[in-house]
Amino acid sequence: MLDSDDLNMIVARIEAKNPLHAKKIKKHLKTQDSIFFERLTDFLGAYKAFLKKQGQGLSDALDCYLRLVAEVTLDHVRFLETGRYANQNFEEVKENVYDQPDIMDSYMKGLLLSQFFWRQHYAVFSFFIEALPSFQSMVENYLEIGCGHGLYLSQALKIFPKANIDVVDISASSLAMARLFTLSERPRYIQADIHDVQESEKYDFITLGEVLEHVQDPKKILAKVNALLKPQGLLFVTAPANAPAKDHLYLFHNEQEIKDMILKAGLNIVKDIHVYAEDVDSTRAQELKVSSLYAALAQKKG
Amino acid sequence: MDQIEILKKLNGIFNQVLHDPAIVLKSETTASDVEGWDSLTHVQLIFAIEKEFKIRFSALEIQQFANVGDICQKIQERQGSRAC
Repeated sequence: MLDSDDLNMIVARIEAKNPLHAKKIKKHLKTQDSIFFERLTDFLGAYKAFLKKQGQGLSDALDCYLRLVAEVTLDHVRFLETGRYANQNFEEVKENVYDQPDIMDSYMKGLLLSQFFWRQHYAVFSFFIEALPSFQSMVENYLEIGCGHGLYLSQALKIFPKANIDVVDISASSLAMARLFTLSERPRYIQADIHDVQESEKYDFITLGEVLEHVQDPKKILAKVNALLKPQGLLFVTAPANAPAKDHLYLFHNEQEIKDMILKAGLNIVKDIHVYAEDVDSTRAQELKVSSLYAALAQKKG
Repeated sequence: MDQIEILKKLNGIFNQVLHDPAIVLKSETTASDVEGWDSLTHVQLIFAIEKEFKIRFSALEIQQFANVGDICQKIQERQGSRAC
């Protein structure tokens, strides 16, 4: 299935710098279908154009990706030692990560590649792009909270071509990157804490991808989301469990804790997906505290 | 701690973490040579190695381990003894 020069280069570079991770990537690629490779080809085209604008190429992005993989591996070792995430304070993470353009730039570039090369990220990305088109006719006002690198935003722009789109992120670097990656001025890019956004605007659809674990009180964010949604409005929400990272604060021990929090916020779960970062059964995954990603399409009661 | 002792201890860790008493490590052993040494068990192995030798690796070091000899060498650097 490795039929593109770019993909061959990516795998070879990973192999040279992190053979163990290359082993995992090759196994992941072997299980993918033709749709994956079509999406990956499209993505790599957009990603290379995005990198070129910054005077960079895929090899630079791969260095960012490999740095991310190494950091996440070490973070997981420390997590096994302590049973908790290293960071406990939002302001410290903001100062040390979100407000550091160089760190954010490398982090987001690495995360972009992980959307295709990490099994849990790709499964959730697929879930998103396959679930959204059925809501095309009902979405006039769309909000993404925490756009990060902008990949999900790029898909929302395609799926909802006529919707008013707002994007709120606390990081100026993320907003700049999303703007550059999507090449779109259609959204309103708003740098703000979501809690400071007025509740006068009601959205048909909100995307909240991998945000809950970045705050000390995720219940508060879900309450805010509920207030921003129209009655019967939809929320696409994702959160990882047992997934230490330099900017993760709130530890979900399993997907049930995430589901419970969504339900307690007054939302019904329409459909969901839960994927471990490693290809193991759930008993072994729980025993070894393997990271996982949960995603749900939820609806406000109305 | 000398090279034989470190390798012996590493072997014991691999046997235990990978649940395979038949594994026999050499300096040149790589993940391709050991069934079950993958990204999942690597985290468990690093955790066990750090605990056993009372050392801490950096993220870059973990990424660059290509074989058992690299791990051995890094342990020895931390402990200030000879290379494997």
